[in-house]
Amino acid sequence: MCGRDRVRSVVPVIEVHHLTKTYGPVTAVSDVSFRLDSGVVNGFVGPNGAGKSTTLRMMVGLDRPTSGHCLFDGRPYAALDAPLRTVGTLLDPETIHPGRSGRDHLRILARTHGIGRRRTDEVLETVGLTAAAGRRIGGYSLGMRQRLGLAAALLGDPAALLLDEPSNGLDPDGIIWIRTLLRSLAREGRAILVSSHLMSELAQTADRLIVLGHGRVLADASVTELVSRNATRTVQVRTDHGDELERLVRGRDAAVARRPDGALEITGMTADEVAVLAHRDGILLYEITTVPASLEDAYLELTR
Amino acid sequence: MNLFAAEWLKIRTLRSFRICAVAGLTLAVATAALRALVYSDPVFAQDMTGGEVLAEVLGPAAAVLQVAIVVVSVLVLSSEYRTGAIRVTFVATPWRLRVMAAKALVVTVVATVLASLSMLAGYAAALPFLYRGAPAATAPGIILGRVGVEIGYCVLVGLFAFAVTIAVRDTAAAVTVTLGGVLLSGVVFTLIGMLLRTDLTGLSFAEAAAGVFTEPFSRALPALTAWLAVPAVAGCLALTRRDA
Repeated sequence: MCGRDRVRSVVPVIEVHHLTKTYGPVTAVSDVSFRLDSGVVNGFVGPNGAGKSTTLRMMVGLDRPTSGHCLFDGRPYAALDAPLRTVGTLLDPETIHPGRSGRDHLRILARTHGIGRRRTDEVLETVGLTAAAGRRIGGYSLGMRQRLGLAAALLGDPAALLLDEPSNGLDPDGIIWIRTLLRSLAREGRAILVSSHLMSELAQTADRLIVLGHGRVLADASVTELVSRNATRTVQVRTDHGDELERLVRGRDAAVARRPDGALEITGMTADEVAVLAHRDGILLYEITTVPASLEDAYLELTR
Repeated sequence: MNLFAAEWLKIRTLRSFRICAVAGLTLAVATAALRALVYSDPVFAQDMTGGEVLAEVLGPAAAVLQVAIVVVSVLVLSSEYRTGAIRVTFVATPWRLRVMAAKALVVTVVATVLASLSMLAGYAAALPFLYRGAPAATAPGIILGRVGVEIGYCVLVGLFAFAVTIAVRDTAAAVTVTLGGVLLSGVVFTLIGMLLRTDLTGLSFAEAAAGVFTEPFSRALPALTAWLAVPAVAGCLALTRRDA
């Protein structure tokens, strides 16, 4: 099938060029550019109001960009012959008519692309909604609506997926399930863009992160690169001579913070440097640990 | 064709559509039967031709049915704006004008089927009550012509309601504006005509919509075109320029 051939492609699937969106004097998205390659889970992260959803809506033609454009396999979204077979999109799970059944919702979308009933049943099974497919959507929980939205995104067996906060409303089992699903979809060669305002949610899923803040791309790098560039390691120390060690460390232009249990958190020095300093002044250390920088720290540093 | 099938499935799976369709059909048939009871009395019916009696029976039935058709035609689009589902529609089918064309086709088919069933069932329900079965003695061409005019009128009302909905995007506003246009425009144009000392009643929606079937080459056609085109073009322009 055409979709299967496409997911094996190694050319960039989606290219976003200088997207900008202004509402009167307010700039929601400013000169956003990135590209999504096949087989990669791309995290699209930023605080609430950073412009993630607006960017996604512009990519699929729902919002008109003030300037810039987005290409899917070299073509704008509206120029695709069968959009659902190229890009699967999950935006707002609440934008579904509550009076229909989940199965009818998918059948309607399937009809627009001549997709058969068997595929509808397949995606319902993939997202675990087969038993609830005949029920009205109005009675679905938020998590079930997210699953239905994901089923709709998968309906055309697309080469790329754009998912806006797909974990919202999912229980812990659901969150683990979606992580596993996204990883397996990427292994099949699909390009995936998954947005979230929670870095912890993406830390275990994404290969690459596009960090958005105030409508601008603040970083576009692999998770490892992002952490090494933007987060600072901390050295944690426990001693009976905290005040003395603090004075010595401050003298070396490093920063010190006190934890409630009395331990010191030192940034700006390595563990070796702290140990040598303490030894030189005869300060006994009960614990000295290097706390690795986290993705969350890097994110906070970037979006501060 | 895929788009039309999807839009048809969309409206067919709405409970509000099924309720409106059944209610409209039932009320139209009941109205025809009740009007027929009035014309079972020779005092009312003996000086009228079969065609005139038929018009008195089916006209009010169509008037009742048009309310249901207005609501259904509005729901075809406004239900998607109300729930935000229009975004899902435009993601699946980014060609917005094609979506509107498919929806207009659905409105046309639904209004045609609903009006045909209502008028034929209304005629069948009314016939036994009418004085000497007056219309039965009338030429079939006249009966079919009368029924055809009522069906055509209902379809035009449905299309007008849909055009208004493209422009206003809201259920309550679209129903209000459509019924206002259909029911009140005659009075408004009459009053304006009185002020200008000219007859403008033919410009009202009801007169223009009925006139295109009885006098197709009169000013009814341009007037009706304006009634349908103004909201449709304004709505489609906004649709293609605004964010969804």
